[in-house]
Amino acid sequence: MLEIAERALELTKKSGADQAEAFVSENLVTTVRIAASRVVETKNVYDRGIGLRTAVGQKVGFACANSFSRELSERAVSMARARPPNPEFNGFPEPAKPRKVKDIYDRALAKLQPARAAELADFMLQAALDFDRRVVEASGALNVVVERCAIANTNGLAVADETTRIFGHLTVEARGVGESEGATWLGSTSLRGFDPSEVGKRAAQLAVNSLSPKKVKPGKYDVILEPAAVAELFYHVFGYAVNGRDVHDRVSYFADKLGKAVAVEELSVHDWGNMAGGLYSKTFDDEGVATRRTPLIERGKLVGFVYDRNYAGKANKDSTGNGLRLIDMPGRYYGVEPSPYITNLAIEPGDFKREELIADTEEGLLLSRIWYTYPITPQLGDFSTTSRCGFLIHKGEVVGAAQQVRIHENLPRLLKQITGIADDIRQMMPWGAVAAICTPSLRLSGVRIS
Amino acid sequence: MKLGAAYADVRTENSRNETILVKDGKVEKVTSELQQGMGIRVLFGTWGFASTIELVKPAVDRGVKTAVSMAKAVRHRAGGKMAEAEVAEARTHAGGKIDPFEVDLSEKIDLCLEADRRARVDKHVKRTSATIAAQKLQKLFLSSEGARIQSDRVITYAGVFALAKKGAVTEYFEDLAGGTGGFEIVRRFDMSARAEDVGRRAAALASAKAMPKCKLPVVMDQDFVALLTHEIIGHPSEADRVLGREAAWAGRAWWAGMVGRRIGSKLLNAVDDPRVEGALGYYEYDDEGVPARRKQLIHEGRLLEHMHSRETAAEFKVKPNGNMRAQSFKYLPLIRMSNTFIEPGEHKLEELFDVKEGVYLKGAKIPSIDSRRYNFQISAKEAFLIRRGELVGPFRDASIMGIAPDFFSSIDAVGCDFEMRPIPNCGKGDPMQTLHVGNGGPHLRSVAIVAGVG
Repeated sequence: MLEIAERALELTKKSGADQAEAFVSENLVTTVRIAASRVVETKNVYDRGIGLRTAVGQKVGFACANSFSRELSERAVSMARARPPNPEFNGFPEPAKPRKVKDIYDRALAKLQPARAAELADFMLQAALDFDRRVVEASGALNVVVERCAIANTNGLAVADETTRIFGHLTVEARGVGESEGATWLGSTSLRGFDPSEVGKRAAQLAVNSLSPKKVKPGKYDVILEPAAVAELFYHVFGYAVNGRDVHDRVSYFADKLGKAVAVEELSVHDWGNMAGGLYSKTFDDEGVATRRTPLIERGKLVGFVYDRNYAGKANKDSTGNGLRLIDMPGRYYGVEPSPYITNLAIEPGDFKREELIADTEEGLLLSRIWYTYPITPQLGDFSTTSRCGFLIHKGEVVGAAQQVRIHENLPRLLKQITGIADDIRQMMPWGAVAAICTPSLRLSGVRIS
Repeated sequence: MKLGAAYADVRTENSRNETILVKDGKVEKVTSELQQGMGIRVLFGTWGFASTIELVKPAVDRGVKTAVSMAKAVRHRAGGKMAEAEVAEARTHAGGKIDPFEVDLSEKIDLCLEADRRARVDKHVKRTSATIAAQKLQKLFLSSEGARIQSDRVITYAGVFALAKKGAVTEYFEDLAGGTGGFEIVRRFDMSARAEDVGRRAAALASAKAMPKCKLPVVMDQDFVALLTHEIIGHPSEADRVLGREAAWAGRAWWAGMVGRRIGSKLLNAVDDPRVEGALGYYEYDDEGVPARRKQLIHEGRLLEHMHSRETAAEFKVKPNGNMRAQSFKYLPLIRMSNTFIEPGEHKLEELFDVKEGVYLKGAKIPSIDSRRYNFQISAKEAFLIRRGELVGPFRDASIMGIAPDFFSSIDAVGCDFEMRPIPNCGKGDPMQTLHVGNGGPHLRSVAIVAGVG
């Protein structure tokens, strides 16, 4: 792949570019899909291509294709020539030799055969169906992602990277007195780190526990969000607020808050692009800048944002190694230019055990999963969500399942109402997410439930 | 088929995309993308799928073998029955009048620069952007049953955005036009005039009061109704959701098993129709080669029909109705809406405003819907109070909360002023597929809780 990138650079220079960058990516996504308790699809999405960024003076253009040719180089240069100069263009990165990140590539996973993937999906399914006679149906999927990329630029940078990940998720339906649902997601960067049966068992356990839900009166509650629910909330309602692009665009509710206290002192959050075993770890970002651990909130104080080179330049900062080329499909994608994205958002664990948080709650709700959580007024941090697996807490004990509730709240306010952080760290990826959230359970006070 | 498949089809595609983005007075992006490839789908009781980007015989042969090996990887292969469908041989074209790729690139950049400039109506407008994008797509569908469908299509869209800040209040406003057609869509949109309006409305919102919480009759404009229809009529009408097959991803449908039953007011009529000319979700054949047709999803408040694949049509014992779509050749198709809308009624706008007290919601922003599409909240770009037929406002940060059957039953006036809107980013599937759809409707009146800031 690196040879293709370097050859593309040569041709692009010959086509008239003063500076250029070639990004080649190759992704293989294998998905085994389960619906109505049987495997219904096994699919293989393969994608490969090349994106060329070219600069003629300060004029910058971008062209891409899923096959390389001289035409692509010429098109990239003509796209640059057609536009006015961009005085903010700050060139391409200088060569660097980033340290290899541990446990982000597993040869066994990269070589996994479809029959083995289907077998793992079947383990997941059977573990759920065998768990309890009240389990009636399960749906979900097993995904294996192998992503490779290479980048070369006219400054002499030439690097290549490869990562793997496997993740399974299952939504299980149980029937007793009424119906209920339980959902679980587990992922790993290696085959040995993934336990398919655990996905099935946890989802089934949640479904069975969710039977016979009781109505929840509207009002203010102490709410414990388990890792899957925190991940959903932080991916959709926190991720953009620390993104250098949204800060520049002032869509972030943190736009004027750098250096200020924005959360309780117990909360620290990092973006950790080179976390060993991180589901979205990479050796370098999609511009060739080494990934790193970027503090965002330290002991409640807002201390940083994530940047690519473009938005770092606008903010007079350095890139934090977060310039990624992502679309909804898993993997780095040659077809778009880099933009800032979070990678692995890591919330530091607290001192509480999850059980202690529950025991310490007089009246409240335990939410295992929330659903369709979006910032309905993003510049304020207002969001709306519904619970999907919720439980009532009374005098320090979980006393049964709770019916679905809607939460219309404000995250900046809730960040100051965190009253407990557990130590039960898990890596999660909400549906369709292009980042991982590494988080413990959190308890929030005074959450308005309707 | 020689390898033993019960059915097979291939989709070959060739696409060209171009995007221009101007932001805060500077050209941020000028991009050009070319793609080609083939998606191969085989049925061996379960589906196997693979894609290839090389359209030469050895690569296609490899793709076929991979698709077959994917299907055969499954031990228990049962089900996968497809309803009979017309085996079509056709050639379709939806190109519009002005080829967007023939319009000079510098003209498109200048249009965006001018629109971006015009959006900065006063010092309170802090961020602006303008974009033009186009796609030309050629497809060839072949099936083992003998279908052969060649289609080509052009999509063009343009958008403008402005964000204003006054004191501690930040507000934004945006407008988008797009559909199946050529550069005439951009010309009709009149980007500069729209940009100025967007700038003014963002600035006005930044000075506006926050919407107070209340439960009142709500009148929604076409843009708001478009997103509402998308979320609480379009999605739950997808038969895979109705069957619970999407439980792990997109969710279910609260009205499963209720075909033929009343789910709302007699004034509520809803349709999905891929053949609305010029709409963003336009097509004549779906990605299973099934002829596209109009579906009456809801008639006078009664649930009538869902959107089907050939497989779900077999389960429901109905004829397939042409709603299988894939984002590109790289993906396996799944059931998606095309152009889903609420049909116009007979009320004039002033009749809709004829309430003692109410709220007028203009433009849809962001939705949050539960997994059964039952309990919803959708925010509006701007809101007004209606007092004895007069509008007071604007107010900022309004949203409505509702329960779908209650909301549908409370519809008591449907406007005659129908409009289709483009929704370029509807997500579904695993891996996620983002698709172009059209949604629309007329002004509509119902009752909901109006929520203010969180």
